[in-house]
Amino acid sequence: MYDVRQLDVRRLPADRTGLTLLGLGVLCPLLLLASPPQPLRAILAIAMMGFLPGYALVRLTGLSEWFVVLVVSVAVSLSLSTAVSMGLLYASVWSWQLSVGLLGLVAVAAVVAQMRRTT
Amino acid sequence: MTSAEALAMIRPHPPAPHQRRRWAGAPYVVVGLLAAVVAALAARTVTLPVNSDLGLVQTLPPAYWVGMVVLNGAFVLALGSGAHHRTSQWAMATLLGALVVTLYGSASFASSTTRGEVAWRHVGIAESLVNSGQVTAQADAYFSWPGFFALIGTFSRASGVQALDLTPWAPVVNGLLWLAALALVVRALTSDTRRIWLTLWVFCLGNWIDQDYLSPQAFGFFLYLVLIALLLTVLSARAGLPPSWRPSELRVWWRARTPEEPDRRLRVGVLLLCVLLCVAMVASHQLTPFMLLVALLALVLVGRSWAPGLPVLLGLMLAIWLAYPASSYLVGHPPLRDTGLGAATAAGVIERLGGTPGHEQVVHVRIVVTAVIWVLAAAGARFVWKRGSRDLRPMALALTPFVLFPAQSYGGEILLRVALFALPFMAYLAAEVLLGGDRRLRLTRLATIGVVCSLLAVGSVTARYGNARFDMFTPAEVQATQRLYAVAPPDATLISGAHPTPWRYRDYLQHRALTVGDLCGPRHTGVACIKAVVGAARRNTEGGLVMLSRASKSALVLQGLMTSQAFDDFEVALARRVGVELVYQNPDARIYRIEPTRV
Repeated sequence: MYDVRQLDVRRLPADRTGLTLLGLGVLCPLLLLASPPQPLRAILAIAMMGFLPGYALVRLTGLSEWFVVLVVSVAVSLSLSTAVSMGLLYASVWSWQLSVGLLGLVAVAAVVAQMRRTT
Repeated sequence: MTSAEALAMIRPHPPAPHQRRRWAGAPYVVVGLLAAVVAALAARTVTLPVNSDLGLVQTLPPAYWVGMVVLNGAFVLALGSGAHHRTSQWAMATLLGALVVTLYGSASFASSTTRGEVAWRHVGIAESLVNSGQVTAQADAYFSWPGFFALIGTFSRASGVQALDLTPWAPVVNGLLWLAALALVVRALTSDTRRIWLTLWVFCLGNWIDQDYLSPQAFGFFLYLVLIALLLTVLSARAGLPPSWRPSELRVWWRARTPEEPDRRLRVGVLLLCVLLCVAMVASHQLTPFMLLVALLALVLVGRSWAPGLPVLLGLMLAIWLAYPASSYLVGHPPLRDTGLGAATAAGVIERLGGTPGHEQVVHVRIVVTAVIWVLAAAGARFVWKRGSRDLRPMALALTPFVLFPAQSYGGEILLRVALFALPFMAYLAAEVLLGGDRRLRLTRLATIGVVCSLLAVGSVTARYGNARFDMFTPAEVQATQRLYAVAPPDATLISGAHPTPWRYRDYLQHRALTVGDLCGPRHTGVACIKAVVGAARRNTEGGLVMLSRASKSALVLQGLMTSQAFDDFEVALARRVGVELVYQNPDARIYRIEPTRV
């Protein structure tokens, strides 16, 4: 298991996309929990459930062409959101806050794994 | 410096060839967008209810059709001008986007009310899932495949957007997602940008099947296309045709295959993503994983898959899902019931060829649009084969959905689903023959493509919106449904005239929902029908409410299940029964309360 505390940001390469993703993976769920006004809330939910976690996972694979990355990221994010929401419903512990939090966690974990791989 | 040199310096330089090409599509985009705006504005002038048996096609003003034809013309001219070239793809993408919005959004321009009863029902299922916070698998089939509904319910709560507000423009969003994924698929089959764009255009025009509303099948189809795209690219194998069918030579041929993608890490990563997509698909829809399974097997059989274990894994996932989460549904619904070519043909074709003359015409247009694309695809397959191409993948993927045709009637919808899953590859092969083998498109060929596309557009609008008389609801019908839920006691039975009713979007598990059409059927008419309806309501201790609306009457009449007179007679007789009371009425709907039997 990788310990996030061992991650020395100074040793990271200039992976701005990764750092941005990391920030968004933490910020988006927190902002959503604060129930911001529309349309910001809808935009954040679309990003969190329809793109970010998928994009973080797709970056791990090494797919590079932007259009492929875009379409596959959307498909993977929606699949992940489906799996997480459904899993929580079957476990009778569903809440949208928990779903979004778990998706954020997946995005952060994928970015950290990517950063660790490139250091 | 001479004056000529000075002039040359201040004069703007002629644009470089690639810059010229980048803007080559601009005039066509301007014309195409104007045409789309004209068509959209024209569609907004449609007033509800639609009173034609032909559906929306007869109520759309001429400006709509002018816009649609000009948009097709702009696309074809852009294709002929070289705007399809890589540097000007934005132009083709904009035109395609305009077509999706105009074609799939026509009904939404005409009315902001959600079209089609099933979309309303799907909202109710998503709501009931997240309201209860658990899966009630015994409720009905939807709860045995809850994946997509869990997604919609969670998104609705997280975004603060009502699930019902997602429905009107869902066909446009799904259409764009499908086309993006299809672009990945077609790019794996050809590098010719003309073929890519024409395939997408023909797919868009040929997709009258109307499965792109807010539904698990639309979501599943998007995942299906993305999976196929990944299998045709990163997980693809290079292989020629086997030299013979002898097992020893087949073994050699199989071992001689090489992966298209040399990077093993990339292949493994993408394979894991594919497994995730498969999980979401298996949990969301009954039919789509089976369509994927036969497609994966076809790719393995033609030697073009570098992931031959994926169909095995998908089969395993399906078996586990059917054995556990979906087991309660399968107890009463064996999967191999209604099998056979005869049963599927009867349910999918023959039973649909009924109803009023106008409705029959719509059904014929649906058959013709599909047949035209299939015939063009067959000609395209012959054309590419004669040119020496031995890529079996498009043919295999176009034909594999037909394997499932005799396996299940799927409530009479199997042929529609087969047509949808075959369409991407049928459109690809049709584009082959439409473009021909010439490098430069001559005027006659461009004119032919323009005429075929314009006719397909007219046919597609006719076919897609052919049920508008009963699947486009009026505000009065929506108001009546809201009233229905307001006056219904908890657990009361709700009975509508027919399925096309804007209901079940709330309290999905609280009320038993039935229809007069289901309770009576073609055999029970008159007094027997009244008895069946009143009996169904009275058996419930909370009684029942019957809602008879314009849409439900239109549906029964249009599909030939009841005459208009029989429906009116039914309502008069129902209103006269003791214990039946009219509790609400507006110009498009009436609600009757039926008291329960007193013990």
